[in-house]
Amino acid sequence: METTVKKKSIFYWSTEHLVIIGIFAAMIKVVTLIVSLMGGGMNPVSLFIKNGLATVILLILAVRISKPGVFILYCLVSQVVSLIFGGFLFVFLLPGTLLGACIADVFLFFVKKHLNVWTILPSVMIFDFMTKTSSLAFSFLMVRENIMMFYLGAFFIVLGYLGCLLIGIPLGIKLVKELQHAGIIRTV
Amino acid sequence: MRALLEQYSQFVINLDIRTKFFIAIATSMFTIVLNHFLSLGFAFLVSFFYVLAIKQYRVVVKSYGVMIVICILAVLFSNLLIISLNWGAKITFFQSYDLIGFANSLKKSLGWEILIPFSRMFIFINVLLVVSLTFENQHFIIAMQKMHLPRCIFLPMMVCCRFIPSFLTDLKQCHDSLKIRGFKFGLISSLFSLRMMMVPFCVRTLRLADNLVMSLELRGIGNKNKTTSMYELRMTYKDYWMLGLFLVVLISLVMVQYYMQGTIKMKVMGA
Repeated sequence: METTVKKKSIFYWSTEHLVIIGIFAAMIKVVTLIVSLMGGGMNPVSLFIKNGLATVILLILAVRISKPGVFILYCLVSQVVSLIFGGFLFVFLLPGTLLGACIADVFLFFVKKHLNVWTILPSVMIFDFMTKTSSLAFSFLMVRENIMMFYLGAFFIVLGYLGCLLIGIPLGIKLVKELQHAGIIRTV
Repeated sequence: MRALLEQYSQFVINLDIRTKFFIAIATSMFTIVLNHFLSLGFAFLVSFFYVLAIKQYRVVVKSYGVMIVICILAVLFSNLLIISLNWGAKITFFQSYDLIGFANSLKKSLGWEILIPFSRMFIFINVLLVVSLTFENQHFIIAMQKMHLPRCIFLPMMVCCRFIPSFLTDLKQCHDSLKIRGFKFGLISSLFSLRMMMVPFCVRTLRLADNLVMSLELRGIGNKNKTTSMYELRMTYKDYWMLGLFLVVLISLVMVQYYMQGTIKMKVMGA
């Protein structure tokens, strides 16, 4: 007798995956909030570290749930939570970050047969890049009467992206390897 | 008079969470379009009257204080940029660029016009404070259920809102455990402590996620049938009154902006 196993669709999300996305979104919020509060807002060092840490956690999330759609879900959850706790300015960041999440997920879809940290890494970088680009566009929209403020904002956004590249990615790879070694990340 | 104020306060506090959300999002979107002092001033006054209803004056004053500090910092940084541009113009390498002209044009924009972006921020703060300070997790969850959001968005959002306070305690515990082991936090050692803080924090979080999943599955979260809630959330006549009032304010803001400037347009610097 032949037995057939129904293959799960890529659009199916188990409770485990959804809970992990929620928990990681909360984790990123808490860590970035604490670092920014400690640094005092406009401090370039804290801005640098804050963005780096957010990338680290995002990379762990992407490795833990290496499934197309993870960035879109994370982006939606994160933006709604930012909307509630951080202000309604974040509504304007949603289109840009959502586009970035879509591109990152498409990339993840194409590399899903060869998943490892190095193939997941570009999707995290794409997502970060698009988030920063949408922040730049939004800051232009907000302070369009005073172009100088835009240049200042751009400086801080570029600094944040450098934090993602210089702190986030090396530390993220190291941390993922440690967690894999400890047997906590099993999927990749 | 006091009874009237109390009635007004209760009216705003008891509004449905969906009404408060709608007002906040619509205000944020609409304020971006406004760019005249008078229309922004009017919007600020109305939103200020709205935020006073929650009667948390200390929080309002503190938020304004933080905003004013940010404004001052921004102006200081702007002046610093002008000074460095003037200084950079003296260097031979940059002399082919018109840095002084750029610095002068930037200096001109530091006049009263700088108040426009900041006045937008104050309006955002006012509408945000009303939502944040009257926010109840339970009501938010029921509101999301009533809006028929898909499970894949609703569930992570619920988990995220629930665990933000717990993670603050978890981070403190990780910090304390490092202190117990004799780790001294300094400027440079804090950078090295990032990994030491992050690894236990991630392990703890992933373990928590596993436990939570088991608990949720046992309580039937994957059940596709319709569930009921302990609390009932319903839009009342007060919400419709408030939405009507909000619409009137929006129309008056459009009129103020229109008469002051002739038309509503996105004013781009230099355009």
